[in-house]
Order: sequence, then structure tokens, then C-alpha cells
Amino acid sequence: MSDLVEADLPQPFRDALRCLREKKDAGARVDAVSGNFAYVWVEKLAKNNALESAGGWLRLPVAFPHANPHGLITREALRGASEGEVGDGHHAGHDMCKPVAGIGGAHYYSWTWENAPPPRTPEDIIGVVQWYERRIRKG
Amino acid sequence: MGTGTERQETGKDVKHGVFVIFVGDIEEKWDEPTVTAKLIMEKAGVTEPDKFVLEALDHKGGDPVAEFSTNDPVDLSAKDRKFFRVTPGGGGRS
Repeated sequence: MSDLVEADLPQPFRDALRCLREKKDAGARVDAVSGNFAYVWVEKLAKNNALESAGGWLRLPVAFPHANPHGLITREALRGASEGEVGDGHHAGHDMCKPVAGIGGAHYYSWTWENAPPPRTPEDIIGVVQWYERRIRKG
Repeated sequence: MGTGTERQETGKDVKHGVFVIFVGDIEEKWDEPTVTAKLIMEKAGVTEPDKFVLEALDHKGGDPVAEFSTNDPVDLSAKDRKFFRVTPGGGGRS
């Protein structure tokens, strides 16, 4: 996504993106916006196996932090912590992958923010990434 | 006290007889070796600790090696119990 389009996103979202780049992954970027969600690529997303393809797209609402994240898209199926694959909410080739399918998005994990504490500030993006990493770890 | 990348097996400060731990960048000192995750998170400023989990890290800014729910006891005398982070709990699927 060009800087011009990223500049059109709401200020709190851009603040969150800046925080993400400063504290977690300088290369984090918005690769697509579809409906109310942005697909944010995070290369430094901790996974269970060092041999896995790096990164994934967080589906973050453009209204973040005033709305909740919903879903993760990856290029390859996530490996489990012990063996096999992460099966929790896994949908290979789901329509939700389409906005980033052209750049490799192929696996959708339909994880919701249910029962999680609502984000309050743009800086809460760091906790959101940790939440995704925990879900990957717990499979 | 260790540097950012130095591994610390426990938070015990032998000289002062307290356990010094870090929740993110926040330093906490505890006299007793076992404390609930709730108290650790509250001391770090978390207002609703029941909605979060406390993750023990292998070093500052490192990888989680254990996690504790709000009422879980945390043995600060154990290995890898010096650096922690607070992570939102919960989550479902659609």
C-alpha cells in the first residue's frame, strides 16, 4: 500500500502502526484494506517452528483501537507447538485471504477477540501482537 | 542486575534479600518468593488482571517460557522468573 493510501487511514490507526514499527517490527506495513479491516503484515511474528515461513497479516479494524482485531492470514499453515498444524479456526483458501492472496495469503485463522480486554489506546497494538503469538503457541 | 540480553535464572537479589523482577520495563521488588500473578500485574498497573495473562520470558524482551493466569502462584525463586510481560487473555473463533 502506498504511503498516500496509508495516510488516509484514521489517525489512531496510524499511531498504532507507528508504535508497532517502533517497538516490534520496523517493517510492519499495510498491504490491503478490505471493508472495515486492514491487513497488516508483521514479519516478526513469533511462531512455533523456526523453519516456518515468517510473518502473517493481522486483520485489524481501521477503527483500531475502538474496534477489535479479527483473524490472521498466513502464507503457509501454522505448525503446532508439538506436532501437526494449528487447527484452531483454520480455513485454507478462505475468501478472507483474497485481499492478500496475490502476495501469498492462503490460510485464514478466524480468531476473534471474544472475552479479551478491549484495546483502549494505539499502544495496545503491542499486546494485540502478543495475543496473536499466544494463540499461535497454544494452537 | 542483568543487561537487556543477559539471561537471568531468578529474580533473587541476594544482597538485599528481595526478588527484583521486571514486568515490561516496570521494576518490582517482592520480599516473598511466591506471589500471585494478579498481584504482580496489579503492581505493574494492570487494572483488570483477570482479563490478562502474565508471561514469563527467557530474557528481557525474549520469548515466553511460561504463563500464569490471575490466581496462579508465581515462584520467583524458579528459573526464568525475572522478566515478564502482560498479554491479553481470552479469544474465540468465528
